[in-house]
Amino acid sequence: MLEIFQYDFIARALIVGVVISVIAPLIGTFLVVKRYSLIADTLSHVSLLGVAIGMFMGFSPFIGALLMAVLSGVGMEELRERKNLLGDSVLALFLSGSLAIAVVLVSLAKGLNVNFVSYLFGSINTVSQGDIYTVIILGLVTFLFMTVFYRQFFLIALSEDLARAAGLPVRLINILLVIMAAITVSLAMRIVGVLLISALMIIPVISGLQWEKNFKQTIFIAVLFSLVSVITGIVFSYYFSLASGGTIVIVNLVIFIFSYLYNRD
Amino acid sequence: MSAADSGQIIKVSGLSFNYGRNKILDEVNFDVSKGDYLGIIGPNGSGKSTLIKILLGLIKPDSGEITLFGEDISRLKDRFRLAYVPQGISGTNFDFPATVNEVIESGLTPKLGLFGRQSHKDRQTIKTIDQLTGIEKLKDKLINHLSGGERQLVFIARALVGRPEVLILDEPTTGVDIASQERFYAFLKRLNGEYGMTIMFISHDVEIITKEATHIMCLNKKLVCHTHTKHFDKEKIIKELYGDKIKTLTHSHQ
Repeated sequence: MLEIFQYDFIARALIVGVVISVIAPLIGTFLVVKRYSLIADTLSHVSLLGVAIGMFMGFSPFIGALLMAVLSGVGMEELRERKNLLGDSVLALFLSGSLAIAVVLVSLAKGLNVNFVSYLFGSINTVSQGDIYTVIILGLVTFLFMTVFYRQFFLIALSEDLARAAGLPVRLINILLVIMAAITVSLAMRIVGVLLISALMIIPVISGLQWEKNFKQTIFIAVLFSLVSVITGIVFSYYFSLASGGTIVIVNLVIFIFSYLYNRD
Repeated sequence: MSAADSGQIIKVSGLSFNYGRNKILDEVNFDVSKGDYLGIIGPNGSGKSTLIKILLGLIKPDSGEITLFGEDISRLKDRFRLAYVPQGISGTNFDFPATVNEVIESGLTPKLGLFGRQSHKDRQTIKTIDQLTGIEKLKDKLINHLSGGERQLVFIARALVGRPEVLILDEPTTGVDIASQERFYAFLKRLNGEYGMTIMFISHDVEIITKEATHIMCLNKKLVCHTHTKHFDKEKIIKELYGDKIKTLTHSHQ
């Protein structure tokens, strides 16, 4: 029927895409309502540093990205909690700092540039069989975690004061949310590209919010939009030889514009 | 016989709290018995909100002892026995895309933990509280579509679904119109009178406290008074709290 599905690399990209489509907006919804959208962008730039370190030191760029994103996520949350630095400025510090170090590392190791660029914008050709197992396992862990802690995340997003008064370990749960976001960023890196990951965590959510449904329905709508954008984006990028990351984000933007115009008062 | 057995559910002794070099609470001692309806009054910066935050375990005091339900505050596990409605629902995210129903159910989070499910009794409690607060018709509305008075009732309903023994409210009627305030205090009186719930609330309105509550506490870093509202010497205490230049006018909230 569709020749596209005969190719293993497309099937692999689609599997990874579907897993990411589910977990990215699931975490993204909590980041958006906590006005913490920029953290996804910051984590993706930190992941880029992890990729550069992995390439430079000769180990898996994915492991490098995952470790850097998780460690920085915890560091950012610590700084935010201590209130020595305002929330946004912490993110700017990590975002520009990590990008600067990554660029210097890449320029030091000449010849890494070609591989490095594929991480910047994403490519459906680069997903290996090993990546699939990693994405499915970590994706499943993230999904289960978000489901089990759903009520706690909900209350903290509604009011940290109420959550603390109820005896919830707010700081620990916030750190866990950032770790989940860091894992998602590392997983999505191959397909969407580091520079566009945050779009996958944020745009489906703000599209979902336009429909003014309850919280669970908003998450469901965001996941649905995300799935549509990733599958359509991968198929389009195959048929028209487009960059997968950019195509996925453009489909997301079209969905957002439609949602906004359709629900305008 | 323990303090809790004797009906004394909150006991505070020698409580002090400093914020940097500023003394916020200075050697405060008081106790609250089951069924008390206590209004707390004091000038801005007198330590009212700090006192409540300490009772809720949100901040730790520098010194003093606090016993809740006969247990030291640091050892109290069942935090849902005290329910809290913050000042003007401060720190609450009203852009949050949640319905009234979802906000109310979030009141069960501490009780249910990670894997608990709502019991039949929980569902019955929610239904009863919806009827009591009169918010049944609002259940499917988003909280950002409600008026200030409606939101206040929703957050009180949220506080009550965990079947707490003590309800603590910080300036509960800030930003709420007069008619809604009347209904609101009538509801609190019913909770206290019919259901025996212990209530503590902060207010700047001494008339409301003397009209509605059974007890009044006056705070100005130190405890100025803590008495039955029947025995409250308004003129004397207001002068002590706010100075000689303040004159009290009586109003009936009509």
